[in-house]
Amino acid sequence: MKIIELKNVNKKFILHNQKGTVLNVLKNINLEIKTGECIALVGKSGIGKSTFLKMLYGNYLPSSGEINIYNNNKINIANSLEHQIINLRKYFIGYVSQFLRVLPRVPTIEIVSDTLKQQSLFDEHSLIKIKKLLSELNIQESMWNLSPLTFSGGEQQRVNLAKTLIGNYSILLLDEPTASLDDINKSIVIDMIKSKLKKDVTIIVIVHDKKIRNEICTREINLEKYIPNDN
Amino acid sequence: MNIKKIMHVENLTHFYGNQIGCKGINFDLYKGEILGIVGESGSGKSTLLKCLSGEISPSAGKINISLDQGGVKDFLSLPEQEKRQLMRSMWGIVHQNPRDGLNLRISAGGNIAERLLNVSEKNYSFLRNTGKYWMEKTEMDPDRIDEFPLSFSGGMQQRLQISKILSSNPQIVFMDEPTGGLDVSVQAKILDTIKSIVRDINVTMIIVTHDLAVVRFLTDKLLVMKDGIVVETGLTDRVLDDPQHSYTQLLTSSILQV
Amino acid sequence: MKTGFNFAYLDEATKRMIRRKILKAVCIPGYQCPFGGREMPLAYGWGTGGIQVTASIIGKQDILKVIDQGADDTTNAVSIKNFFKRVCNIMTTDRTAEASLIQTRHRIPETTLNKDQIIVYQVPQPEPLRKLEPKEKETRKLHAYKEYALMHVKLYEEISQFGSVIKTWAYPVETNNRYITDPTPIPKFDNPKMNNMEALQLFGAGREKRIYAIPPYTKVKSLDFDDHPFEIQTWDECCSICGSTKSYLDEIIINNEGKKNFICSDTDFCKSNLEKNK
Ligand SMILES: Nc1ncnc2c1ncn2[C@@H]1O[C@H](COP(=O)(O)OP(=O)(O)OP(=O)(O)O)[C@@H](O)[C@H]1O
Ligand SMILES: Nc1ncnc2c1ncn2[C@@H]1O[C@H](COP(=O)(O)OP(=O)(O)OP(=O)(O)O)[C@@H](O)[C@H]1O
Ligand SMILES: [Mg+2]
Ligand SMILES: [Mg+2]
Ligand SMILES: [Zn+2]
Repeated sequence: MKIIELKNVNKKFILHNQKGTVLNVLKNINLEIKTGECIALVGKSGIGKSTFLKMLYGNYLPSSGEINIYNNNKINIANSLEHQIINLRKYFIGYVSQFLRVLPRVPTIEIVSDTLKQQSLFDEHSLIKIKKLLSELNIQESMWNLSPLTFSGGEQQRVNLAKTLIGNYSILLLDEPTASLDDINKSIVIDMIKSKLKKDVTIIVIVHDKKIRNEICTREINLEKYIPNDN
Repeated sequence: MNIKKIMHVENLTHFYGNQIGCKGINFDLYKGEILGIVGESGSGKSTLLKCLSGEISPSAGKINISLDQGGVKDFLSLPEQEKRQLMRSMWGIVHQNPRDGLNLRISAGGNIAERLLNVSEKNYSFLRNTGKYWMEKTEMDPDRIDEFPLSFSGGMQQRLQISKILSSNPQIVFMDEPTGGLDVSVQAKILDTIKSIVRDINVTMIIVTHDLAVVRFLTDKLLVMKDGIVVETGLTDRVLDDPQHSYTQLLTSSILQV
Repeated sequence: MKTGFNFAYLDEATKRMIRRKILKAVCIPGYQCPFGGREMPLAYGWGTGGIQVTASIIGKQDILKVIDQGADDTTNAVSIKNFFKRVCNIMTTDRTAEASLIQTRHRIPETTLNKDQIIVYQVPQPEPLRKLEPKEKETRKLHAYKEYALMHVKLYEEISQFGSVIKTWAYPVETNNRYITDPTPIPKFDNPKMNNMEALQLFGAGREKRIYAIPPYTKVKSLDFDDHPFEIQTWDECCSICGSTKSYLDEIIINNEGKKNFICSDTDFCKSNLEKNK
């Protein structure tokens, strides 16, 4: 069953304050993604992998085309009302950015709890579940009540992952989830991704390591073919 | 999912004599949304907010509102009594200067009680308990309920003003630079408070600010204003991360990454 | 009767104007009607509003009683009574039950008034919201839109500061479920008498040029909270003259050691009570 569909999607950036420079990034994307697939986005640095993910999340606006998400009904992220996108993000699509971005002074445990609260899934068992997840991701107990903003890069990334993986999403967009992790933590995260796939979650992931791609992904999409020829 | 539209604004325009205040503003506000209005000084943010909250009557345009009870109403042609009643309970304005929103001659608890008395039964314990509840919620010491606003710091006065407004469980809250007059560390704490309350009670809010960090953490969608008109609108993180209009690009590139 | 004056001092046109205002006031219980107040031959603060109301409604058959703080024999009461004797040649009395028209400052007689009587209050400040909202333009709106939260806030503040409402006189009331009304500086002890009173109650404010009214059998409710109901003053003592335990008592110091005595503030009531008990 198709869950994501891109139709004639183009993306360019017009830099008005830099002499109107136009960056043509992606062109003519037409593709479908089915429920339960694990897609790897590949292509050289700067090709537009993060841009692709951000468009799926509604964070970037396609210059033209449709990005349809099939929940109970079809929602075109490229021209929906804000609250529809927000609602989709609350319950349906989770996104792990390359860098953690959170409110200052909010403790780690609350950041993770918040996902469940937003999904109205927070109950008396939730804290145990959250603590278990943080422990599995090797975030020490002494850090749970601290804001992650002072954590190391790898720790921040694991908090970022915990924040999204705790939730009950149907689609996960992961931008280099293992980039700054050591081998032990890498394999822990890979296991977590695998268990999401078992639950039929659809995953689109950017990961440079070919070994990992082979281990988890069902399909690769090389963005090479969407490079506009005028570049 | 069917979220109710509670405000529909069409071609809203206000002139001060020949001077443009704001012009041709269109947007819809849905229940539970937090709308940010950003733009440089003089771009018409406060003018727009004042038109929306009934403080000034715009030169042209339409505002339809949909209240919890009763259907869609033409806000601009409501009789004064209904507008006042709306402002006293269903809607609320948090002013930049807390002294504009507080009665300095009555205690903290009295200030909250005044708002509650517009809607509630005449029960002293209820007023007292609700007052303390909201002081706690805005991270004030409820034991100071009988103190007068002037004995509070600026930050606490602002918290009190927010308590007062939220205590009546308003449908829409309007805020104009709610942390404008406060020093930076106090600002951040108040924003934390606002953010956590907003998550809790599902209030709908329109907030004017020129602080993009505030906007990023607090709002769902944005209107970017320049010279009285809206140049760009959309989901907050979309507007900040992938700005389309040259003015928005200037605005987002001129600040540190937030 | 002194000649050279019209009956009851005011000219007929003025009386007619004031009567019209009174009719309007009766129609809108508790609403303050502005009126074209006249200069009276005494200073503001001495009852000029009450006197104009009395002068406009008094007739040759009326029997007038005037009290000040419950007493018929104080200077103010006596001079007003003398004034009306001179300009109307009417009868006056100290007996509440005999009077058809009673002008008062600061008290309502203890003896229950009946439907054939009219009581006229002298009003220093007709606006109950004035201390809370200084602007007339705004208080008019507050009345018009029935926005009375501030009034209750005042009570809230007293309870939170002192444990109970400490206001003991000029305690605000709600008239006919609508307008909040200043009952004039009577003790709150008298407030319940205003409720469903058989007599017509008229209020005249000379300086502020306002007339308001409470028609007979009108609901008058003292403001309060469900959990802090309105209460009147009580005394452990009884009147040291007549022994009454039901009347409003004045406290008087009777010697240099500070010994206190309590006596009825309503002199007529005290006298009749004493006679009855003999
Ligand atoms: N908000 C933006 N405004 C302007 N240009 C942008 C913006 N975001 C991305 N770009 C440009 O779009 C192109 C694609 O960037 P993107 O970040 O998607 O690449 P990527 O494939 O994720 O690269 P990497 O592997 O290095 O993360 C780059 O040229 C980048 O400079
Ligand atoms: N009462 C007024 N009379 C005349 N002109 C006014 C009045 N109020 C605002 N203006 C003008 O209308 C324009 C918009 O002003 P407004 O106060 O809405 O701006 P703003 O975006 O809120 O600015 P700031 O960020 O400085 O608060 C400005 O040019 C301003 O000078
Ligand atoms: Mg990238
Ligand atoms: Mg402003
Ligand atoms: Zn006595």
